[in-house]
Order: sequence, then C-alpha cells, then structure tokens
Amino acid sequence: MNDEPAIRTRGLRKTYRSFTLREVVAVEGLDLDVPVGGVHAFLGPNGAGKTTTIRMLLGLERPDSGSIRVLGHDLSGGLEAAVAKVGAIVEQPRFYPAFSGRRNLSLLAQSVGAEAKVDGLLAQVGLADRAGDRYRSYSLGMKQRLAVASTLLKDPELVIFDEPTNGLDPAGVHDVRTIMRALADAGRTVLVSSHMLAEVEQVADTVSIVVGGRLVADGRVADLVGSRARGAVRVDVTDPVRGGEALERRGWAVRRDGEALVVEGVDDPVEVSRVLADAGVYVRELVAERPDLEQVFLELTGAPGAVRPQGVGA
Amino acid sequence: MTLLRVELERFRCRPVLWLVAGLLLLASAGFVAMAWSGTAPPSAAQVAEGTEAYEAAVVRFEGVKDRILEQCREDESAGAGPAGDCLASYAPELRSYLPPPPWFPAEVGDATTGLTLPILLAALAMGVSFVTAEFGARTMSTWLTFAPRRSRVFASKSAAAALGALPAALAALGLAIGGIALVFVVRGAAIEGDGAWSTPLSTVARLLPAAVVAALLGAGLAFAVRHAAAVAGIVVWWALAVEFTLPQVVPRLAPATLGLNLRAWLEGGATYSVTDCGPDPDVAGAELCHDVDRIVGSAQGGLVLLLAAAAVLAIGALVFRRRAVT
Repeated sequence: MNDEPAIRTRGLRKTYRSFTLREVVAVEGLDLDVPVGGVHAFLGPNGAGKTTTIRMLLGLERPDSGSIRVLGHDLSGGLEAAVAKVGAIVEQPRFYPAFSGRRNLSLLAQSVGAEAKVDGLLAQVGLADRAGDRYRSYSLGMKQRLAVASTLLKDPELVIFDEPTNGLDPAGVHDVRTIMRALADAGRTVLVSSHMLAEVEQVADTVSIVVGGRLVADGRVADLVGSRARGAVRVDVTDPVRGGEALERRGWAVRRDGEALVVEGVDDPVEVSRVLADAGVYVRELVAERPDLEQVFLELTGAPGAVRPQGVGA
Repeated sequence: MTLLRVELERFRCRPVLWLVAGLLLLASAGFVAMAWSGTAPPSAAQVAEGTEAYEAAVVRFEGVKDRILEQCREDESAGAGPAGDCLASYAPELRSYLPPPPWFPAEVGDATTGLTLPILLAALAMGVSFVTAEFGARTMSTWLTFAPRRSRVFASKSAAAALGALPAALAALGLAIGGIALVFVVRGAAIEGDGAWSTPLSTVARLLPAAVVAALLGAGLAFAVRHAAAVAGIVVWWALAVEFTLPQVVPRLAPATLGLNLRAWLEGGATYSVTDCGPDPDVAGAELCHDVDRIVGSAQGGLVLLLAAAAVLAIGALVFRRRAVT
C-alpha cells in the first residue's frame, strides 16, 4: 500500500516583491504533509501563507524553491495529472457574474466531461431553485454553495476548501461541514483552510498550523489538544487557604481566582479531589479545564516554535 | 478541442460580445440605409432643375455650334475623327444634368470601406473583452483548477476569440452587401458594372482574415496586460506615437506602421512617400531633394500583420505562463 501523503511539500518558499521592491516572504521552508483520507485543517493567522500555499498546490503560483507532490505527482512535471483529481475553492468563489449558476457550473463540467452531474450537484448544495438566476444576484452563501458544487464535479480524490464557510448562515455552515465529513468518510482527502476554529475542530481529523509561512505544529487534532490538556483544574472549596496549602504540598502550582483555586500540572483531576479530602477540605465544584483547538492555536501562533506531537504527518 | 468547444460556448454566452456584434450590425444597417437613400430616383424638382440647366446648355451650344463645327472640320482634315462625331461629343446631354444613376460596385465599395474600421475595432474589442473579462471577474483561477495547462488555455481562448469574431464580421459584411443588393433590386436598378460581385467578394476575402488578426491581437494584448483599460491605453499610445507621429518624423519607417500594411493588404498595395536627397549636379556642394513614392505590396502588408499578431501573442503567452493568476 502506498503510504505517501496526499500532499507533501518540502522546503517550499515563496516571496513577493512589493512596489518598493522590498522582498516579502509569504511561505518560508514549509514542510507540509496531508495524510490520505480524512479532513485536514490548515490553520494560521492572516498572512501566514495559507492561501499562497494552496495556490502553489494548484499551480496558480510558482514556488521560488522547494518541491510539491500532490496525490503522488510531482507538480513540476505532473500538474495536469494531479489537478485532474483535485477539486478546489481558492479564496472567494469566482464565477462569471452574467451567467447563471447552472451555466457557470455547466461550462466547468464540459471541460471534465461531467455535464450529467450538474443538476444533481446543484440540488445537493441547495441551489436547484436558483440555478437559472444570474450569479451576480446570488448571496455570498449561495456563491459558496455553487463553489462547493464545482469542487465535486471532478469526483476528486482531494478537495481543497479555502475558507469554505465564509458568509454562510448556520445551516450552510452545517451543510458544508456535512459535505466535508461525507467526503472524508468516503475515503477522500479534504484540506480545509479556515479561521473558524470551532468548526474545524468539529470536523477535522488532523491539522497543520502555520505562522509566518512556517509550520509550527501538525498532527492529529486530539493529540495536539491533548498535549496541552495537563494541568488545568479549577476547584471551588470550602477553605481556599488550607486547600491551597495542601495542593502546593503535593507539588502542584496553585493560584487563587476569587474563591476558587486553579491547579496546574495535574494529570488526573481525581488526584486533586483526593488530596483535598485528605486535608479535610470539601469540594463544591471541580472542573477540568481542557484547552480547545482555539486555545492551542492562539498559544502556538503567539509563540512560534515547532511543536510536533506524534501522529500522522509527523 | 474540448477546451475550444467550452471557450466558444463561453464566447457565445457573453452579453457584451453580442452587444459589440449588434453595434457592428447597426453600422452595416446604416450603410444599407444610406444606399436606400442614395439610389432613390431623382425627385420632380431635381428633374425640373436638371432639365432647365440642360435647356440652357443647349441654347448656349447652338450659339457656338458653328465655331465648334469649324474647329472639328480642321481637326478632321488634320487626321482626327469625323467632324460629325466631334460635334456630337460637345453637344449637351440631359443625363449629364440629372443625378447619376446608382452604381452597385460604388455603393458596395463605399460600404465595405466604411465598415473596415468598425469591423476591425469590433474584432479587437471582442478579443480583448473575452480575455480581460476572465481576469476581471477573477474566474481564470477557477478555470485553471479545471484546465491547468496554461498553454492550452491560452491557445483555446485565443482561437475562440478569433473564431468568435469571424461570424460577427461576416454578418456585418453580409448584411451590408446583401442589403445593398436588395436595395438595388427593390429600386429596379441594375446590379452590373466591372467587378459588380468580384470586388465586394475580394474585399470580404481580405477583410475577414484581417478581422481574425485583430481579434488575435486583442487576445494577445489582453493576456499580456489583463485589463481592458490598459489595452485601450496601449492601443491609443500606439495609434498616436507609431501610426500617426512616426511616419511624419521618420517617413522611411512608415512601412512599420500597421495602418499602411493593413491598407496594403486590403487594397492590394499602398504607397508612401520618402524624400530622396542627392548632390545637386548644377550647384556644387548643394543637395537636391525630391519626393519618391514607394509601394508596400499586398503580400508584404499581410505578412507584417501576421508577424505583429504573432509577436503580441507570443508576449501574451509568455506573460500568462510566467505570471501568477489571482
């Protein structure tokens, strides 16, 4: 079995020249691995190089240096073969404003011999009733839906969504999430770049986080979040002073937060409960503060430095 | 071929291109209307005025007839033609004082000459608009995710621009020539004369390839600069700096202008003047200059137009291949 990732970049670098001829580094030595199958989140703050990377993956930009392999094809010589198996939305959906949604989709479908799929896909993304209307009359959400439909025309092995839920209402966000999950469950690989971390956490299996064009973390979402799960237990007790002293004697870092104590470095919250009971301090409430992807993201993007928990792509 | 088919479909669906074609047909209809007006039989007032002028000329002729006859006899004895024919040639004729009857080759020639610039500009605009719209709407990046080979996208889009402009040019010429012919039939005027049909057909045969070249030039420029306004700026600059100013400043470079070569291609040749100077044989140390007409042949004109289109397409292709598409 071929264990090559769906996407593998090595030493990818891309710079731009500003009007003042100053060199701006968009991507700097990026080593990105996107495993085959599942949803892979591609995260980073604005200007981190996500879209530039995606554009290079699709041959829309040429890297200054580095290599890209997509679905087993080296892009330097196999762009056509690779892109034939990739569906993608890059940045905003882009279609002809004066054409209807159906015509826009039909023109793309003709190029890949998929005209028979047009009506089914329009129905799948909820645009069947408005398919005959001009694209310029569509709301942003409808434009996104049409773009999602276009990515599915090629029956792709790899689907790349760049901010796919921008402008969508909650139902639309749910639909896109469902589509992404369904694609992944069908064995396809989904690469999604998004700022909506809560959404991504719900659907992504693996994640790569880039800052300043460099990879700062990648791996399974659960591993990445779990690697930062140690230590955060918030406990409300009857005697904070005595409770705090008992916990500190156990070797944990304790700080007061009002009447509550925040205990850090805890492997298992049951230990906290046991130490307090031994000290004769009763617990009113105990909450394990588990970080989410957003906290991990903020921590990583605020303090660059590669963190590579074990897991796919590492 | 798949890409070309899609591009032609895309061309067919663009309302702006239909608008350009519509304006072109409107211009053709204008020439048909002018032909209708120009072939109208003379009005009673025109006939009365012409007859009056004719009768006055007859009176004047009768007054000088003897002197003319005498002169004709002298000429006859000197070996010229018969004096009777000579006299008759001086006699006024009524038809000379009435509006001339319509002449089909002239009417069609006026129409095709008048339509040349609109057809070429329309073809250029179609080529430009077809490509820049894709960059303007930023749909090119979407298209490249379906057709990633830029050389193929470039070739199919340029070919579609050229093939798409062709029917519009053909329809405009067909409407003008067919319309004028119909006008002659309705008016009961004769469609005859030297080259009644061969001249317009020859014009069509030369104008259609020129329209294709114009569309290709437009597409090439659009791929190179990506904005319709930028293309318009280049075209205006070229017209002012190269087509208008250059031949005046350096007349020998006139053959480098597209206008002269286009005229040579369409009209079977074109001339331009250069000033030739040499030592004056009569005055030592002085120069003698005179204007000399030089000819640009039809084949040379066509070749220069083709080379210009090829150069612009090559630049467009290079820029499209190298530059990122947003």
